[in-house]
Amino acid sequence: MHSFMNKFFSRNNLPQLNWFGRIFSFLMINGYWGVIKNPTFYQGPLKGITLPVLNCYSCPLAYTSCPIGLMQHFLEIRLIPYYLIGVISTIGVVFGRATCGWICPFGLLQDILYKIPGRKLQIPHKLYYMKYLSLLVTIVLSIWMISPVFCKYFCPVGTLEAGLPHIIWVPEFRPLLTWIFGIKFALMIIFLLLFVFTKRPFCTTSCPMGAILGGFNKVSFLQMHVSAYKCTKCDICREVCPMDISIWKNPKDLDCIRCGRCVVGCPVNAIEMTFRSVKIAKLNVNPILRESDTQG
Amino acid sequence: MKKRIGALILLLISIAILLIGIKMGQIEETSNKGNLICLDCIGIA
Repeated sequence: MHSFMNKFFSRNNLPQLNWFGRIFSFLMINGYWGVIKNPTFYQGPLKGITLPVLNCYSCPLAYTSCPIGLMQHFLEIRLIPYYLIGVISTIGVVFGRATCGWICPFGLLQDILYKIPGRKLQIPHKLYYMKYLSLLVTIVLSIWMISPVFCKYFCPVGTLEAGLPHIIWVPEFRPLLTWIFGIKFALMIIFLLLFVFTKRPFCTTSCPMGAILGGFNKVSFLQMHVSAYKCTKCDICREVCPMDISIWKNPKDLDCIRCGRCVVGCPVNAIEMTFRSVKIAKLNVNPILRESDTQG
Repeated sequence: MKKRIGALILLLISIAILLIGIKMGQIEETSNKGNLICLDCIGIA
């Protein structure tokens, strides 16, 4: 079993596995193509499922419910969302923030748009703390205003996945649009532009789901390991990282999305992804050691 | 070893919370909410 996992998750396979995983999950989460015949959206028992990824449940293609939308709903009706907490924490304890790197459709969109060639910019890491503020404001205002404030005033995912398709396909909605849609539309355009120039700007600075899941990186079964013996601190891991973090500084970084690109990108094979005792994304080539490592 | 046991305990607590939620009928509540179009998400409300 271990050898199968090692072979399956070998570092050579990891990039392909990651892309396959994300495209597959995108098609699974947003797979209601019946909408082409009938411009409505999926309504059925699968909407009872929620996954720790940001995907608007009003998206015409969506099969599952959005955890942040659901959190706000439960806060509005003054109920503790045990089901939601259970889903997020169970997946978080096992995989940490890996769902951001392996499942999230909005993360996939950001990574695709970042591939557009051109000048790239770096987001100051102090802005990474904004997502915690985003989570806090969402919780406090949802309770206070009894309204899904994140969905209503901010969420670019909702505007892109639900707002635009419904407005295009359902003409009756168009006269009902308010200034709120204007704000949300402008925010969505700003984010889409940022996606081209910066690495995952929404995930790093704004995503409340990422803020929740990040905490599980400290305790999760799925972990990153950096060999202090092999690491040359060249920081190539940061260059290849979609979240722009230096994993060698802190393998349990709250912003690590466990995508494994650093495992593949490390020139000295110093980084491994492990599932507690079982090594996955294991090294399958001899590490290139520095001269200083081989001496003495 | 301590961390592994800690993670296992956390996992068990998480599963217990999940089961409480399921027993309270929160999957149905989630489904009901998800099956209504979210006008806030669209920008109409």
